Amino acid sequence: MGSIIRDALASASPAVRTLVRRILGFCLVALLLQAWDSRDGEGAAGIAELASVVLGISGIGLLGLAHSLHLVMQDAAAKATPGGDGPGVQRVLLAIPAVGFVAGIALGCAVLLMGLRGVLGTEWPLVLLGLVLYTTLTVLAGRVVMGSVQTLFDFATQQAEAAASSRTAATSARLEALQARMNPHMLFNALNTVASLVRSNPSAAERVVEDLSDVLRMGLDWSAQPLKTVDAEVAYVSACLAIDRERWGSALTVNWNVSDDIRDCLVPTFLVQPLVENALKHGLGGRLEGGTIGIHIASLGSDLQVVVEDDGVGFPPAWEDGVGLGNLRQRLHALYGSRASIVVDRPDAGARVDARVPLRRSHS
Amino acid sequence: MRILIVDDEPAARHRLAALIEEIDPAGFEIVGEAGDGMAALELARERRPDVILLDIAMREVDGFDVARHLIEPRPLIIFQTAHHQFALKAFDHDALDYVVKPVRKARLASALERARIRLAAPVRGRGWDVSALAGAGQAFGYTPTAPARLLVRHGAGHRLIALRTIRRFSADDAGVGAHHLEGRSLTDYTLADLETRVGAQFVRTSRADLVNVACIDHVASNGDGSLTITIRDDDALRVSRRRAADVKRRLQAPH
Repeated sequence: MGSIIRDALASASPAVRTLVRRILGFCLVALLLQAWDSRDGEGAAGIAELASVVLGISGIGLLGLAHSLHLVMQDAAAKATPGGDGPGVQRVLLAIPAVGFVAGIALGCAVLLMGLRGVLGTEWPLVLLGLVLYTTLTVLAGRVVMGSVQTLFDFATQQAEAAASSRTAATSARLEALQARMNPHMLFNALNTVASLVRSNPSAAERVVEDLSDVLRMGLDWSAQPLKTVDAEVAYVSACLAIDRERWGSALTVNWNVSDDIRDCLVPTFLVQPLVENALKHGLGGRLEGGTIGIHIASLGSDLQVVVEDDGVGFPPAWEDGVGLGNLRQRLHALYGSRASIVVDRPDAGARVDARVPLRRSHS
Repeated sequence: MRILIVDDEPAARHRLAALIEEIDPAGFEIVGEAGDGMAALELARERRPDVILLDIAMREVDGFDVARHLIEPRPLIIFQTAHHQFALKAFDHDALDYVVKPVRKARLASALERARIRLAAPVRGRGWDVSALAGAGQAFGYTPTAPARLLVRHGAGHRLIALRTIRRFSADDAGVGAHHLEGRSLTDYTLADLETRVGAQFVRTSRADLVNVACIDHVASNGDGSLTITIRDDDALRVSRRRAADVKRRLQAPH
C-alpha cells in the first residue's frame, strides 16, 4: 500500500504534497511529545492516556492522508483514460477507503479510551474535549470512506463506459472500412467491366469474376475479425488491384515487396487496402497517364512497417485525411493507442504513406 | 443520329458500340470513341456529334469537365454512372440524361430514343446551359479528385496546364483567367468552381483572386489588419482584413 500511496502523491499537486507532509510531520511530533510526556504515567490511567493519545493522533494522521488522497484522486479519476493510467488510479482509489477505515477504527478506539480515562479520574473538561474531538473525527472518517467509495464506483462505471464505447468505435470503424471497399461504385464498376469483357475477352471477364468473388468473400469473412495475417491482407489487396488493373489497363503498374519473415504476422484487417485505394484515387486518379504504386511490407525493430508510395500527382499541400485514411487512423488508435502511426510524406512527385503497427506473430 | 462514346475502359466502349449497333443500326451512327476527357473534347469539336455517351469517373479530365467545356452548339449528353441513388430526383433535365452501369440495352435504347425526340424539336429548344450541371456531381455521389492539370481555353479548343505552374486565377469582365508561365489563359470555370476543385493548393485572397499558396513569396502586414502579398513573377495583391486570417493560416500550413 505504501508504494501505491507514494505513486498517488507523486502525481498530486505540490500544494497537496506539502499538506500531506505537514499532517504527517505534525502527527509524528505530537506522538513523540506525548510519548515523552507520558513516560512517567502510572498504572491503568497512564496506559489509557498514552493509548488514547497515540490512537487519536494516528487516526488524525491517517484521516488527513485519506482525505488528501481522495481530493487528489477525484481529479485524476475524472481525467483517467481507459487503458492508460486506469489501473494505477484504480489501485489508489481502492486504498483510500482502507486508509479511511483504519483511521475510523483508531479514532473510535480513542473515543472509548477517553471514556475510560473519564472513569479513571482524568479532569472532565479534558475528557469532554477529547470525546467531542475524536467523535467528530470518527464521523469525518466515515464520510471520507463513503466519499471515496463513491468516487471508486463512479470511476469504475466511467471506465466501463469508456471501454464499451471504444469497442463500439472500433467495430463501427471496421464496418466502415468494409463498406468503403464494398462501396456500390466499386461493385458496379467491376460488374460493368465484366459485362463489357464478356463480349470482347471472355477469359478476362472470367478472371474479373473470380477476383470480384475473392474480394467479396474475403471482405465478408473478415467483417467480424479485427486481425488477419499479412499473407491474407496481401491476397485481398492483390484481388482488388487485379480488378482495378483490368480497368486501368497498362496505365497501372504495381510493385510488391513483402518480406517473407513477416508473412504470418497479424495486422489489422484492411490495413494495406485503404493506403492503396488512396494512392489510386488521389495519387494516380488525377493523372491521365496513370503510374506506378509500390507496396513494401517489412519488419522494423519491434514494428511492422507498411509503405505505400506512388509517383502520381501527390497529395495537395493542405492535405487532410480522406475517409479511408481517417478511418484507418481511428481503427489503429482503437487497437494500439499511440503504438501505431500513419505518416503521410510528400516527396517532389507522388506521395508516400508509412504506417506502423506493433509486430505480432500469429502463433504467439 | 451521330453518337460519340466516351469511356476510359476500352472494353466498355466496345460493348456500348455493339449495343448501339444492335438497337438501331440504320438510325444511329457512331462518329467516334474517346478514352479520356481531352480526346472527347477534341472529337466533339471535330465531328459534331448529336449525342455524347459520357462516362463520369475518368482520370484527370472527368465527365463533368467535358460537359462544361463542350462548345456551342452543345450535343445532348447521356452520362454513364455507377451510382445513381440520388440522381433520379436531383438530376432531372431534358437535355441531360443518364444510364447506370452496367448499362442495360433497353435503358440505353430509351435514353437514345428520348434524345432522338428532343433533337427533332426546333433548334432553339435543344440547347442546355452549363449551370444545369451544378450539383450534378453531388447528385451522382461523385467527388472529383484534385487534378494535376487544368483545362484552359486555347485557340478554338482547350489545352491542359500543370496546376503548379499557375500562379493565380483572376476574374474580370472577360471571365476567369489563369496566370501561368506563358501568360494568361481564360478558363471556363468560375472562381467558386476552382476553389472547390483546387482549394487545397490555392487560397482566395479577394473576391476576384485565387492564388497558388506555393507561389506567394512575401507577406507584409499593412498595419490595419490587411495584408500585401507578393506573388512570384506577378503583381503584389492586397488582402482584405476579412480574408487576412485565412491567408495567414494557409501560409503557415506545411506545404
